[in-house]
Amino acid sequence: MFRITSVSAFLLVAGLSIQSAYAETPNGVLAALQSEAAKSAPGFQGFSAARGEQFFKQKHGNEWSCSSCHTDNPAATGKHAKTDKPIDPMAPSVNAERFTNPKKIDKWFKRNCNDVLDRACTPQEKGDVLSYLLNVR
Amino acid sequence: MMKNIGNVRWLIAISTLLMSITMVAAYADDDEDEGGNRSMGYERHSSRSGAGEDEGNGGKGRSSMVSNAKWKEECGSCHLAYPPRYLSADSWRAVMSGLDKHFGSNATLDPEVATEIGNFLEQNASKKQQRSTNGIEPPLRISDTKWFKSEHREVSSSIWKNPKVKSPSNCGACHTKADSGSFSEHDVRMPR
Repeated sequence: MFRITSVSAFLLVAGLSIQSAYAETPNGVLAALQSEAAKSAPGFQGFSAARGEQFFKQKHGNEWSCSSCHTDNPAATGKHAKTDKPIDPMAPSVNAERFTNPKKIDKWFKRNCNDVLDRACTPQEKGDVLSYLLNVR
Repeated sequence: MMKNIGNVRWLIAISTLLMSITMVAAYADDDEDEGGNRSMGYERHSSRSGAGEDEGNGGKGRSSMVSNAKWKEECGSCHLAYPPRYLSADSWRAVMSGLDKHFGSNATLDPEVATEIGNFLEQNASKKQQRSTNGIEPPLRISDTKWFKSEHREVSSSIWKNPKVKSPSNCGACHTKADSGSFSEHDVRMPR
């Protein structure tokens, strides 16, 4: 009995660390968003890069869109709309650091979705945008 | 023997010379840091009672170089990480308690990160009470302090309106070493 418990504890710990290591790549983050979206929206049908691109470039009732600071080309260096401070490119193809730190991803989605939409983004929206950014070369 | 004494004399002369050079350099360095606090002014005395005053730090400019990794990263991602010495502690407390509406942007932080940054800002804040020019106390913007207005009184309106400056918050437009915490007048270059 003891052996079974310790084996399952080991598997649990190993599984968790694999999962967290996996989440530290853009594709891992996308997979995590996918399972989140599937749980939160019963009719979830996967992410769409095209929808993500539209979301990224559109305004959502406020003064700013994502592209107000990140520009229409996520492979280019952006510029803060208010302060002009340069912002490193969002596309992982040109900036390998993007979408590798789950805490940072949460922080910026929370802040920027609030600025652009006055609310948090849904897992579907985040996944669509990330799919788009992953497609940009 | 005489030759040895001669050598010793030379040695003393050279080391005295070196020491005085080092002292001059150290003084110049302090002067420069203090200069950072009077950016545009020529009156050192008035600046000594200003926000940039580095009281509590041996009276010299070392505090211009105080740093904290989280402050640098979090406060420096959208704008220059403004040095804590330009606002008093009550201002920093007010800024840190309103990060969800930080001058029109959401700048919320994890609670533990916010605590660390808040402590860093308050510990290195201006010891002198910074008053605002618009009657709203405490001032939330460095550019709203009487000290800032006075320091920049010689800056013409055409400079402020220059698109390369854009806003008084854009220190780096003229203070070429603002990013490293130095606001010395020597490093000021007005954009054309």
